[in-house]
Amino acid sequence: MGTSAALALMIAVPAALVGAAMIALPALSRSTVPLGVDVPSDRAGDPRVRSAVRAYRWRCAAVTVLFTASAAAIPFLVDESRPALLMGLLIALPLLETAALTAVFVRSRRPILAAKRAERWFDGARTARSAVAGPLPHRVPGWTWAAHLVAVLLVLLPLPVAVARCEHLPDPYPTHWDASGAPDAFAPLSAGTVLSPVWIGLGCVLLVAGIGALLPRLPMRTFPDGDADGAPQRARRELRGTAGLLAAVNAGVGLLMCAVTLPTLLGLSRAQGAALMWGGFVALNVMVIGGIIAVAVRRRREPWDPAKGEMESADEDSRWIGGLLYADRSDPSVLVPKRNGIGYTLNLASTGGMIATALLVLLVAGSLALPFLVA
Amino acid sequence: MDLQILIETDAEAPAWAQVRDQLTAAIASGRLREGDRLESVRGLASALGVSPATIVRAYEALREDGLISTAATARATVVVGRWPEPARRSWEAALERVLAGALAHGLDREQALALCAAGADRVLGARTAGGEA
Repeated sequence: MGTSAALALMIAVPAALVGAAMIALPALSRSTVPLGVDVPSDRAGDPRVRSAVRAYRWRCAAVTVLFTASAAAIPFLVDESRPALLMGLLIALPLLETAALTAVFVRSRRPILAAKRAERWFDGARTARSAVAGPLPHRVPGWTWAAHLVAVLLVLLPLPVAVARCEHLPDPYPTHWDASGAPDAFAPLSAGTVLSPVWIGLGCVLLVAGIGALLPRLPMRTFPDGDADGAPQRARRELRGTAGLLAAVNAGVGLLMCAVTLPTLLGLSRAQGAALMWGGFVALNVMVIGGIIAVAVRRRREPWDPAKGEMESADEDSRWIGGLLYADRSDPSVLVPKRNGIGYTLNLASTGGMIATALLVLLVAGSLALPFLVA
Repeated sequence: MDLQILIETDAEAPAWAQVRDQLTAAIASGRLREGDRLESVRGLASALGVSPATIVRAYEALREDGLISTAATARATVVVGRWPEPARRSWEAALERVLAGALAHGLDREQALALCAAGADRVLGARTAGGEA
């Protein structure tokens, strides 16, 4: 496979997956927050809500098709001899797609907001903030710890291989590969050169495992949604789903890191190495997609028995920016449950949230700038 | 069974009073027992998305009512069987006000006591369910 074709595949597949995830977003969110707008439980099925969600999905599909097609067109538009342009496209296209999908989300929720305000949907409704008052830590499935352990073991697997084959390793040793699996950067053979991917991978999986260990210790916020008695059970299922998805992703990351490191250690051919790396990449995507689908299916089967007049979740639209970003100075939490999708998001108005955001921005900016700095 | 705290946004009672009342009900029903440790101030405040001052005030009220004890470095612990005299007199005064309201609406003594008994039965009934849980 040529470099441009492989690169196009690397951009097109994630572009399609990101678009698909955004299309599926309403199915991964509570029914009472369609497109990030708080509504009473008896309005979750309102025709205007359904229409807005439908329009959102069609718009997301259009954006996804546009960017996926753009990525697939790269081999026909950009010459392989212009690596800087290719690198620029690799960085720009995902960012543009994310910006476009975000704009679609913000635009699509307006009809729901307008109907809610005009008809005062929360008038007369009893609303509450709620939480499970302990004890901590909450329980997560035992298999998630096994999955994190598997991730660590997969990342460490190249270690004994490197020791066993140290006399057969090439000098200089490849340190970077292009999209087709051909090495395009080398360094003198040393323990550091050979094992640095292992340590980097270990750091990544341990970080994710650490987040998995933190999850059961987070305060458990609940959402009555017209069925207050069932709220703690729904919150516990959400926690289990998040912990499970995190563990599955970590196992996929471990597999990918192993697949990236082993080919050179084992002396595989370029084609075999590329196949292994692409296999790891596909496995990671399968883990992510499978995990998301599993959570969506569980959520659909979740018992939710709202009744008119029962306690609804507090209308918290004012705490969310565009229905996507949480910022509330009066809330001491650093992490709060996501309004859309699975997991948690930062409270941007908290001190911890601001620090974490700054670090994330630096990390992302540094990662994007690194190829240009090295070049 | 999970102990869920709900702070109703438009209730007359302030948030700290709602937390106090629900924790009191949890102790009365047996869902919280002697020696049980309450969630930390910051933990419960984070869980509910309210200012820590709200939980501090609720815990202070429970301490004054003799229902929890707080040490400097430990989390609050439920205590049973200690009812400080000022808290008892305050409760008796509140009970008189409630009964006066019922009697002012034309209920006689037996009807008012029947309502009190029904309320106590509901709490004790919750205690039975909470004890089994």
